Amino acid sequence: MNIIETQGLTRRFGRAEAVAGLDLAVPQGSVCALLGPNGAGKSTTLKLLLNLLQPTAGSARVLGVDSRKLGPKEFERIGYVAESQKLPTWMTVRQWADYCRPFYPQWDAALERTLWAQFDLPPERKLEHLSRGMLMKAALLTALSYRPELLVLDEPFSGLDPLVRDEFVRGILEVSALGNWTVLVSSHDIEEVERLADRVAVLDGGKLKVNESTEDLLARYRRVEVTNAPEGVEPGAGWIEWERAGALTRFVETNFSGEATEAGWRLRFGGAKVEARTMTLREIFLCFAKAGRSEAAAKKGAAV
Amino acid sequence: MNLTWHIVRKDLRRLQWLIAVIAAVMAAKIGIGVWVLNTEMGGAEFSAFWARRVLGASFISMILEGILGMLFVAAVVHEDPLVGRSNEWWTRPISGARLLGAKIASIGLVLGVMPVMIALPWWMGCGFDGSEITQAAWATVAAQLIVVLFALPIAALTDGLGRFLFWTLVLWIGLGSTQNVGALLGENVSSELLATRFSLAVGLAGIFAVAVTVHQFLSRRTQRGIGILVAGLVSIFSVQLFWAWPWKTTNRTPETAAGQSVILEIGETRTTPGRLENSTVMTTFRVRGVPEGFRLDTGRVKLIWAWTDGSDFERSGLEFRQIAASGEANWPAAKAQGSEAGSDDNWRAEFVVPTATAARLEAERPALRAVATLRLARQLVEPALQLRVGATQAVSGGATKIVGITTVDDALFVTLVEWRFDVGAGRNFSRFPARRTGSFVLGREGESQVRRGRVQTWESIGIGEVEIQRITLKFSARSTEAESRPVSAASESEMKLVKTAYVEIERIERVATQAEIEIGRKGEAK
Repeated sequence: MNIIETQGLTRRFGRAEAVAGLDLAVPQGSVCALLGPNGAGKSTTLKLLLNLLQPTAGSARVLGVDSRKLGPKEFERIGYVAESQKLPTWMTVRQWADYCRPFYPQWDAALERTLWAQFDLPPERKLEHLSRGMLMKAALLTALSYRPELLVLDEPFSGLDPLVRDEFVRGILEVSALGNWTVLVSSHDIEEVERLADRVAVLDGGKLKVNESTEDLLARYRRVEVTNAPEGVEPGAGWIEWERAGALTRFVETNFSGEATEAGWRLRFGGAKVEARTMTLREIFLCFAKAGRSEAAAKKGAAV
Repeated sequence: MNLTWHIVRKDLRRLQWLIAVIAAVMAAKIGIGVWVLNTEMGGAEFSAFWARRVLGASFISMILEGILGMLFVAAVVHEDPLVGRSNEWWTRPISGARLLGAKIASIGLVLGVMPVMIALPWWMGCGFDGSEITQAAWATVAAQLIVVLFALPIAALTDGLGRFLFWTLVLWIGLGSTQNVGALLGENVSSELLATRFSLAVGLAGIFAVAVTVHQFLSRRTQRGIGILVAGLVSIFSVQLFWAWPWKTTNRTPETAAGQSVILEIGETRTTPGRLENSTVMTTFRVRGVPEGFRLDTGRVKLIWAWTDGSDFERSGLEFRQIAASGEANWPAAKAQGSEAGSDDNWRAEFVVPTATAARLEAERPALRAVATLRLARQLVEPALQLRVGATQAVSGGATKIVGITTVDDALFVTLVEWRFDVGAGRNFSRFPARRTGSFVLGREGESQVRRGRVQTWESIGIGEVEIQRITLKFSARSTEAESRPVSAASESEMKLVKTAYVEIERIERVATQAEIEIGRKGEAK
């Protein structure tokens, strides 16, 4: 069952299309990372999903409800933490938790206590006096204590130093282990997301490029180096970032499927030495980003 | 409901300092009233020195109350903004209806319940009965409601104080410019039609204010909300410009029926060559048919002269005043004062024109049409007050108290403080002219010759639905007629002071036309 489903979800701001015909599905219980460069449409997508923005076209269903009709009942089951959220900064952390608590009948006091201890938050300090990392932790405390079925995080790592990022990710991981929650996290901090996500969706220019499990994605991609490849060999289907420099030919195989793919390479390159290595999520993401940029440049050139 | 109060508590805690300031301003206003009622300071001294400060403080407190009320509304709404895409509360389980309920409850507590609670001891101290307290409470809430209805839609469509203040100013100017726009564009509008247009505009403003606010809280579609607001402004403007059907009052009470017998007749017009190139043109009128016990107060008149070439010469907004009657009065409780009964009185209107226009008026004998608006008032003789300091006469919804009696040369100066239950907009700050409230006479009950007091100073302020007037009267040394005993020799215990007041019933409009006016020159035999 999918907790989030979108069909042709589109949002335009004037002539600019921030999200273009997005078809996204996030299965229940998954931790899905929404990746993309700046301006890819990640935050807009999340805002459309949470009814903070209205779609220009298409639709989205969240927890089985049309996103435009999300109401208090659904928001009792959704937790949202965003970098850009306007928080009641005049409150102390305790006051904020006290304020949020009555709105959630399922608020788990024991979990709240656990989170207080884990995040090491100063209860009597005003939100406006908290560091960025502390503020995100406080936001996470008020978003997790009611055990939401869906946790949406919009650029939660932005501006956090590595130590705080690590603590923050560890916190989410530990908490997510406590229940069967679905997490949708948008970010361009790939390393942190890689530790969290079991599913990846890549957005570029408002369009969805990839939406599959992290495991499948990592298994599908290989960086290949061929030494002394015969002249005249053309890139095969699914090969990207093809380049030749002297005796060395490099490319990225996007459809790696073990023996069969390796047999295909041998056939293509004859006796040449072929070395393939696994790629990190960051490398794969950079491939998408570069491809997106070249596509955009080509479009621009065609338009000129 | 508990969650609604949970939000209310949060907002009130957040805005506690602003609430404290609002409460302090409201209490200070009442404090001014208490001080004015209890100070024993003499009349002239009070007027010359303190009145400006008291009036100023009262005025400032009134303005501050309005501004703070608007700021409070804005602050309460902006605490959980309805505009933007990053507001934390939007992803909390809080419905727009619940939030609207909470905001209305917060505003109601601070701008409805709190002012009534602060003013309650004041009203009780002023001697208001239960019904008057209820009316005063309602009037207090209604005055705040105007502020709230103005501020709420703007606050709902903005996300910060700067924008709120800017749009408040724009809307204030916009709404103000629609007021009486027909007349400004040269349309000939009757006062009945003006009143109808104004009522409709106020009604529409209220409806659209509620519509915008509710829509924004429930949907948070700001652009659509702005559309509703603009539609409201356009409809208000249209009503002020195009509405052509005045509401007629068909069910007249015996009091308002009294105005129907009033007839306006044009008397004569004279011109006086003025300095340099200007002449004063004075037209007299005769007003007949004012029933006994009623009088007409100063109003406004519009004069339209039709030149022989078919064009018009018009002067509007002229002060229309009674040519003052003089003489001693009779004991008012025994007999209505003849000269003040108002019947068959001469009235006049004056205006200044270039001498050439005055000469043309004299030469052409044009037709004249006059449209006069007058205030019909009912005479009210209040119970007599013993002439001694501290003497107090309670009347419905208030009292009159003598706070000072001094003798200078042969004249007697009496300072009175009056306070009255006074519900209604527009009187929170005013200095009413003496003629509005009739006259004061001093004498012995049953005497035929009594003395009329001349008003030396008259200060008036409205505080918390109580109108306070502080009046210093001068009773001259000797009567102009037979009575020769100096008033300063009057035994205080024997003398009584009687006030005749006039209660405004309604504004009436009368039209008079005369086909041809013979215009004379002032000072010449006609």
